[in-house]
Amino acid sequence: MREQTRTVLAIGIVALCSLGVLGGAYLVIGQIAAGRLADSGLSPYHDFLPEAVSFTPVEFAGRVVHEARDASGAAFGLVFTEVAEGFCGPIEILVALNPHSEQIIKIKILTQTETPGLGDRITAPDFTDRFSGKRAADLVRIDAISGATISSQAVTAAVDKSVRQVLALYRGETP
Amino acid sequence: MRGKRLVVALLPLVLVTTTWRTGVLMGLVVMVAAVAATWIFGLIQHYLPPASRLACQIIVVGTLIGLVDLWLTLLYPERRQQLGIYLPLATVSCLLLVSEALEAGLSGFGRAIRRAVSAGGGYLGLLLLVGGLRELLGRLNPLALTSAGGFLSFGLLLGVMAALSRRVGSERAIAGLFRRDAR
Repeated sequence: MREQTRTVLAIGIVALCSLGVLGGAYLVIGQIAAGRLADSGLSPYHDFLPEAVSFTPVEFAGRVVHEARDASGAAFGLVFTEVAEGFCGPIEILVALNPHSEQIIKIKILTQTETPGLGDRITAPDFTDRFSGKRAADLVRIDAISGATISSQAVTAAVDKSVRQVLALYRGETP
Repeated sequence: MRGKRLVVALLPLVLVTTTWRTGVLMGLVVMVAAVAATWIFGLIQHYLPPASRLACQIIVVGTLIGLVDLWLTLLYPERRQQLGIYLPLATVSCLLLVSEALEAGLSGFGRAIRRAVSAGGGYLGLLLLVGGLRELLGRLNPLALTSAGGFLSFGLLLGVMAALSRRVGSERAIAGLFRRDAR
């Protein structure tokens, strides 16, 4: 009995130390990563849309959208996030939309907790590239990924909804 | 049981090594984690009751792989994405190397560390070899980049190694990955 208690105690202490190390590392490395981003002076969207020089936040009826401007100062894209309800949990999607041609420039899956090997294939460029150049009306033609039907359809539906909504807000706000 | 070998830790070997770069990255992660875990565990194992040692080894190795995971996720997300689910799964390969190194090093701490370095280095070398071979073969035929191609490349290497070891008459194989089953 005594031996068992010692065993459980030892495992518990090692596990607690592990928790402390991982927690501390998360704080430290997270701070380094945030510092690097701030030092570079770039918007967090810069990696997503490198052709943009600046991103200006604009609020349309409570929805924050970032206007991406090129070197000449012209707004060529709207960048916004949307959350889809996936198979295992929320899927956060970043969308870049050209408000003039109403075509999607590109999308990116920011966070997801879908099944590894199945649903998480929605993050692959093979899937996200299917959205580039599509208008909201064309999205029904995007095939779901077999084995990841629910996850991929959730993404498509959320992109469709958000694109229509942002376009409507954009038209309403800018004459 | 001459000539019979146990082959372990094939999952990352076959699935991550589509280019030599990802192979090296994975190999480095496993090697560094194995050496660090052997060192940490060598320091604390005498304070642990025998029944708790395996569980504690798993926690230590898991923590180290978790640290690498965090570091890559936050600072080099592109690299992290290349390794996918196989980075957390590398815990198992790493655990095998660590437990073997500790067993080999029962007579001394330094020996365990040397064993971990050589086994980890062998694993790194093998990942580099398979990755490089697949990258070359992949230029001729894309099949080499699929999982089946991974097994084929590895099989080729195993064949070469068997032929070599027959010629040299040595039972020693690439460190860590291969162990004679009669121990």
